[in-house]
Amino acid sequence: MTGFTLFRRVGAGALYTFLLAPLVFVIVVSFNGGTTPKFPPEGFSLQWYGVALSNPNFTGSALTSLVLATAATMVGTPLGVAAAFGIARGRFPGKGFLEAVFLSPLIVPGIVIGVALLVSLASIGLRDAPIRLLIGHVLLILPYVLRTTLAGLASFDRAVEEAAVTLGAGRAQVLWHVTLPALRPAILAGAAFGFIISFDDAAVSIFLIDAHATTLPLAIMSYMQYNFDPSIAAISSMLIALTLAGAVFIERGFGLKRFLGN
Amino acid sequence: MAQISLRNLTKYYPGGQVPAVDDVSLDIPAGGFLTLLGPSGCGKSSTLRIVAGLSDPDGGQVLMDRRDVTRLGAQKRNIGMVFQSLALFPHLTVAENVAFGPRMRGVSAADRKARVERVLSIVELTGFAQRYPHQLSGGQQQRVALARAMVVEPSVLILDEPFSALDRKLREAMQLELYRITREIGVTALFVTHDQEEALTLSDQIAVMNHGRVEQCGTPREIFAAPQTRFVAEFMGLSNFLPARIDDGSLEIEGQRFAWTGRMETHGDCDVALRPEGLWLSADAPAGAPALPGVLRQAIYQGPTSSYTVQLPSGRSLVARTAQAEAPAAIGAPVWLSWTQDSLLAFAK
Repeated sequence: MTGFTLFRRVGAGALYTFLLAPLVFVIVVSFNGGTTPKFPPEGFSLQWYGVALSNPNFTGSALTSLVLATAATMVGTPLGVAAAFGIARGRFPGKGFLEAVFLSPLIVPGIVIGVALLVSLASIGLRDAPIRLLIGHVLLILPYVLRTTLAGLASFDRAVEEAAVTLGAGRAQVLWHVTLPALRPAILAGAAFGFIISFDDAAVSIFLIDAHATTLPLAIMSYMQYNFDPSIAAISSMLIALTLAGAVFIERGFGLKRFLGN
Repeated sequence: MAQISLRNLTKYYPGGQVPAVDDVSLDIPAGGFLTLLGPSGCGKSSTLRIVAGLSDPDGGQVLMDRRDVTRLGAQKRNIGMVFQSLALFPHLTVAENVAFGPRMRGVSAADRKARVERVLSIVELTGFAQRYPHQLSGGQQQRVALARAMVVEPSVLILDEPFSALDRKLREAMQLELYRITREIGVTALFVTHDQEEALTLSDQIAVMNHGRVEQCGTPREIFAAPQTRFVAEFMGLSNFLPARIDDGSLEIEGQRFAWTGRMETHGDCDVALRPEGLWLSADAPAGAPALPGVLRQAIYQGPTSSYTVQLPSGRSLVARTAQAEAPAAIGAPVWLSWTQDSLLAFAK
C-alpha cells in the first residue's frame, strides 16, 4: 500500500465517519434505558419507541405527514411529468426561463416560499391548512419530478416512438404504451425523492399549518422545546429507516447516481 | 408485398435553400430489394422517411400498388421499419416487442402468439422470447428489430442503415441473413446505406444518390461495371482519374492519342478512370495494347495481387493492382502501363 492510497483511505474513512456518526449516535441513543439522551446509553430498552408511538401528537402528525406527502406526490408527479414534456418537446420561446421557474423551489429558501404562500393564499381567501399544505408541498415536489423526467427524456431515443408509429400505434397509444413506460424509472425516482422531501419539510410547512393540522417534523420541533428525552431519538431512527427504504427504492429503479448527476 | 413508386419527390428542410430530396423518382417491383446508396447528407435517409410516412414531402407522390399514400400517416401505411438505432422498446421483452405491431393492429392474442413464434424462428431467436433487449447481444437485438418489422407482413420493409453499429464480421453475417430472410418471405424492401459493398451484396437495384438527386439507378452489376458519372464511379471505389479529351473517335490522355470505341458520343474534355485491376506493368512498350510510359515509384506485395504506383510524365500517379508478384522493373526505373479496353471508363465533365 503506497502512502497516497493510505492517505486516501484514511480521508474517506474520516469523511464517512463525519457523515454517518450522528445517525449511528441517534440510533444507539434511541435504545437507551435511561431518561435522558446520554451516550453511552444506560442499558438497553425499547421503551422510548413505546413512548413515541403512544404520543398522539406524534402519531397524529405522522399520519398527517404521510397523507400529505402521498397526496402531494400524486398531484405533483403528473404536473411535473407534463411540464417536463412541454419543456423538452415544445417549440416555443422562453423554455429555459420556464424550466428555471419550475426548478426555483430548489433554490428559493423554504422560509421565503412559506411566507409568500401564506400571504398570497390568504389574500385570495384560502385559509384552510390542509389545502395550503397540499399546494405548498406540490411546489416542493414538482422540481424533483421535473428534473428526473427531463433527464429520462434527454436519454430517450425518439426513434423508439417512431418505431411504434410505423407499427400502427396512434399518438395516445405511443404515449401510453411506449413513452411513459420507458420513462417509468425516471418518473418513479422523482416521485420517491419528492415524497421524502415533502415528508421531511419543516421550513415551508411551519407557515401553513394550524392548530388542527401539523406535520411530523414540526411536531418533533415543538416537542423538543419543552422535553428532552430519547423518544425524539426513537422517532428520528424510524425516519432514518424510512428514508433509507426510499433511497434503496430509487437506487433499484433508476440509480441514485443518474438522479443526482443530472 | 407491394409495388412501390416514388414520383418526383422533393423535400426542403426549414431554412434550407437547397432541397434535401430533389425530384427523386424510383420504382421498386413487388418483392424487389432496392438500396439507396450515398454519402451522409445525400438525401437517402430523407427519402426513406418520406416513404415511411415519418416526414411529409414538399412535392411529389408515394404510390403503393398504384395507390397514392403520400398523405397517409405512417401508422396506416402498413410498413415495417428497422431503425439505425434499432429503437427496440426497452421495457418490453423480445416477444412483447415483436407482438407490438400485431397488438396495435388488433390481432387476437392467440394469433399474435403464433405469429411471434413463427417470426422468431425465422430469425433464429426462439429461445429468447422472454429476454429483455438489454440482455441480448448486438446481433440478437438486430434480429429482434428485423422480426418486429417483419411480423406485421408489411407492404414494404424499410431499413435505415441497420448494420452500421455492428463490427465487420457480424455485419457481413447479418447481411447474408437479411438476404436469405427477405428472399425467403418475399418482401419488398427499401434499404439505405453508405457502404457500397453492403449495397452490392444485398440489392436487386441500387440507386446512388448525391445532393438529393438520384445519380444512377441500376443493378449492382450495372452500377459497378458501368458507372454513368464520375461521382458514382468514385463512390463505388474507383480511383485513377485522369483528365482526357475525346475527338472524332480518338482519345487523348497525357498527350498520347488512342483509338476510342466506347460509348459517349459527345466530344470534348472529359475524365477517364482506369480500373487498378485492369492495368498491367511491363518494362517495354507492349504491342497491340494501349499504354502509357511512366516511372515505377512504389511496389507493395499483397499476397494474391501486388500494388504498383506509377508516376506519369505529367506528375500524376496511377495505381495498378495486378497478379504480378515481381515488379518488371526496379523502383525508379521506367515502365509501361497498359490496360484492357473495358477497364477504361470515360465521364463527361
